[in-house]
Amino acid sequence: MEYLIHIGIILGIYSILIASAQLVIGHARLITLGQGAFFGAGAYFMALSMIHLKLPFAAALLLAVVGNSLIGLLLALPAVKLKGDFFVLTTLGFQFIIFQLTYNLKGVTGGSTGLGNIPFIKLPGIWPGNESSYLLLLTVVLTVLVFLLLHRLQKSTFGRNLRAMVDHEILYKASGRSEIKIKAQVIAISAGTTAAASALFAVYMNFLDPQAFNLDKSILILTGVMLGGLTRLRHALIGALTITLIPEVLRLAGLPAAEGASIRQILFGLVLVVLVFYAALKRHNQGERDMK
Amino acid sequence: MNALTDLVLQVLLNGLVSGSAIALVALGFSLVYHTTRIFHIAYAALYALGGYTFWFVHFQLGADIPVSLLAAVLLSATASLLLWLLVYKPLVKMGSASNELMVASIGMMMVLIYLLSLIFGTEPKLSSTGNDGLISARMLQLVLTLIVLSAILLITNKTNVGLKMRAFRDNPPLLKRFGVNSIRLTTSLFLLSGLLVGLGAALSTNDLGISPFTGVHVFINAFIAVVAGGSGRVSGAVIGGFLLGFLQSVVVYVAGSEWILSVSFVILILIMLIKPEGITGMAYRRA
Repeated sequence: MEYLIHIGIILGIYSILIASAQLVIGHARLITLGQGAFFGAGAYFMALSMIHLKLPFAAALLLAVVGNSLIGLLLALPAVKLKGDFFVLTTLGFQFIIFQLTYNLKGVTGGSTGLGNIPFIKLPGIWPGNESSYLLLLTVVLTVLVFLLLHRLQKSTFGRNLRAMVDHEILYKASGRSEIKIKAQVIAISAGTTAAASALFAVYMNFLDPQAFNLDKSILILTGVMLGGLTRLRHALIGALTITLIPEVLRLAGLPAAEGASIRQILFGLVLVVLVFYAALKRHNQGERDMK
Repeated sequence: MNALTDLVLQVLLNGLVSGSAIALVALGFSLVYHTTRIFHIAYAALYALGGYTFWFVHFQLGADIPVSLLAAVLLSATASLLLWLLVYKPLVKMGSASNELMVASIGMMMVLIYLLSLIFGTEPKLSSTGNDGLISARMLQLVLTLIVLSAILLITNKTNVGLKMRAFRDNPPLLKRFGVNSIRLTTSLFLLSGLLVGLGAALSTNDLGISPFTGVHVFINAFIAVVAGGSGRVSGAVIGGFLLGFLQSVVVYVAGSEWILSVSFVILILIMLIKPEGITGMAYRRA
């Protein structure tokens, strides 16, 4: 039972991470390697405000969402003016800057030794279960909230504007709208919703280590988005399910932990390459059929 | 006063050595980047491959330096060639967009880097030379790099190869129309690029050692050098590399080595913002 609860919480965290990244990668067509940094920034906001400011979970979450959105805007300021390669390069740099900050500011974050003793959520007196089952409930609630929010966003004027910007950039600009502004908004919103995953992670782990939010995490999130699909929210769920379950399957298959971690990353790398080839072949065959 | 000049000299010398290291890998990167425009991040893994090969052959098997250099260079070049022939080329032929090539490259980087850490472990491998060894390692690095850099610059600027490269960058259809085989040109550029990154990795490993993700830092440095050098010329990468090297050695002195990458990035962003025409002027080509 505890194992299933664990899987449930991890699945919820990845679902939020991937749905948030989908907004940037899928809807705004901006490949980013910085989502792991947002995940980390949110987690440190969360942990530090719970430890030092003694804030309750909800207030700390609010602070993390606002803080992450501001950091998102900070990244967006230079990044959205740049196209293609230069955008990705900037997000990659952002990923390393956040990592170096969390790793080197030992007085604040504990550096490589980590940041421990993050307080848990106060359980309401009437809750019959234990701490982890309560966190699972909270995970489900937050995941549903984030998905509802992202769903509303897609259906709103903002979502339509975003589609218009991606499909007809020049027309969009010609109509007097700023494509820089909407891209910046997308990044800030995505960073904000990512903070929900950070909050759950910080409380669940009770301990933060900069290594949990490195480039690998950003690539893992990218893999999840590519695996599930670029636009539909339920595809984000499929992506999250796959990347949550693959490590479990590998573990059940009896791979030792040390090699298992590397093999898992090799597998995820291969998945990315295969997905690109699959898309290319599908399009290629489609093209040949159209020729006939 | 004497101490001050010593210090300046030291910082300058460090800058020259790290600048030459960056320039070498930046040149290799720019050869394929300026012609194919692929976000070739798997280049980071080719660096790691060269570094680990050198470390294994030189420090583990005990072969002397020329043999170890050769092994590293050959392995990196072969991997670079295979990457182009088996991954990028088929995708380019099927008309994949630049975003898709980028994702494939990220995937290949993960595969190669974690294969290396599966074999060698994730702990950094140090070069086990003493202080005297360190100085000779750095001298070797500097001299060999300068020779190779001049040779490549001479080739690309004075011969037909460089002309073809520039033509390919500016107008691929026209080049094809004139009967130049662009696929063969790209193949040879990937080979050359692999040679350069293998050499750069081996020389740096001889000095500083290697770990699985060193290549990613080096890739970022190379990319920054290429962007800072600007204008899309091959020599830009070399100039950018040396500038970045000097800058980083100052940063190391002022702020400490743990902030190098962050400072370099902030400077990159400043360059891109203050002088945006330098970037957009690089004939950005959409697939």
